[in-house]
Amino acid sequence: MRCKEVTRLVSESLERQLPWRQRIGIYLHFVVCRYCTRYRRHLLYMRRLMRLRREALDQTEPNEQTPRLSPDARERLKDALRRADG
Amino acid sequence: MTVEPSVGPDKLGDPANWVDQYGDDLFRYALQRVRDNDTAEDLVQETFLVALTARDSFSGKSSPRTWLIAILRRKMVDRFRERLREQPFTDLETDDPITDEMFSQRGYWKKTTVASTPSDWGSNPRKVLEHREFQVVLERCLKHMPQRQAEAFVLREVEEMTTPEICDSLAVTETNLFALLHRARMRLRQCLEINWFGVRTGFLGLKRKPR
Repeated sequence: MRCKEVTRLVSESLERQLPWRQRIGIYLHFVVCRYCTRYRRHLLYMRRLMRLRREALDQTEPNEQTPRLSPDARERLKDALRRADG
Repeated sequence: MTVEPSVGPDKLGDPANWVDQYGDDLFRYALQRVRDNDTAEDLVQETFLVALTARDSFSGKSSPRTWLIAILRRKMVDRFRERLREQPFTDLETDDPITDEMFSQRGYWKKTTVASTPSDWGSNPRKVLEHREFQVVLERCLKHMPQRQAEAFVLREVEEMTTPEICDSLAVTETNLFALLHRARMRLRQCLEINWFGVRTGFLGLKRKPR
């Protein structure tokens, strides 16, 4: 197997269990290819990264850096609600 | 049943105050999952309008915020599905330029590409995420992804829906979803490599912070 195919399968392996032939193929490839070995680590890294990013938003109190609705948007939303509730 | 029918809707409070009470929370939630402020604002508005007509069905068992976020989430998935329906998957059947960019014709990593071969990232995303500059790079990389790839990626890695759930709610085949996710990951990885982990100034023009 070549890197192009291995990277595709590595991504797929995050979604489902691959057939054993493919799993063996990937691991044999990892032995000789540090880029693909790292590629797999990077995908798992990004998965953790996205989870941490979401948790940070859920857990931290809003501060001056956290995005909020602009005053205009706030007015637009209130307007829409008033009209619908009218 | 013993549940007072009026308890839930009362807990939601006066709709006139919803924007001040829940607006920023919903907006932030949406902004982490869609690509721009306008879409996020649209979703918040749709959420409030649905909530208005459905408020009698709110039982009060969950918090108003949780209830509203569940509505927003459904609206977001609807929106993603609509977009997929508008544009059929023809471009998925051909080769995506990202793979040609990364791999030689023979299918091996191109070592000449600007800093895009996988380097050592270490193993502590928590630490990296503490850098304000990295957060900026990450947000810009996510925005840089093609829209449908980004949406599939968000449902999988932010919402943590399973692939059968995503296929079901977006009405796509597993093959198409896997292709979207593969490309999304490859692009995001490359973007982070170039703009943070790699050694050169990235294509977004953001300098890498020395670690």
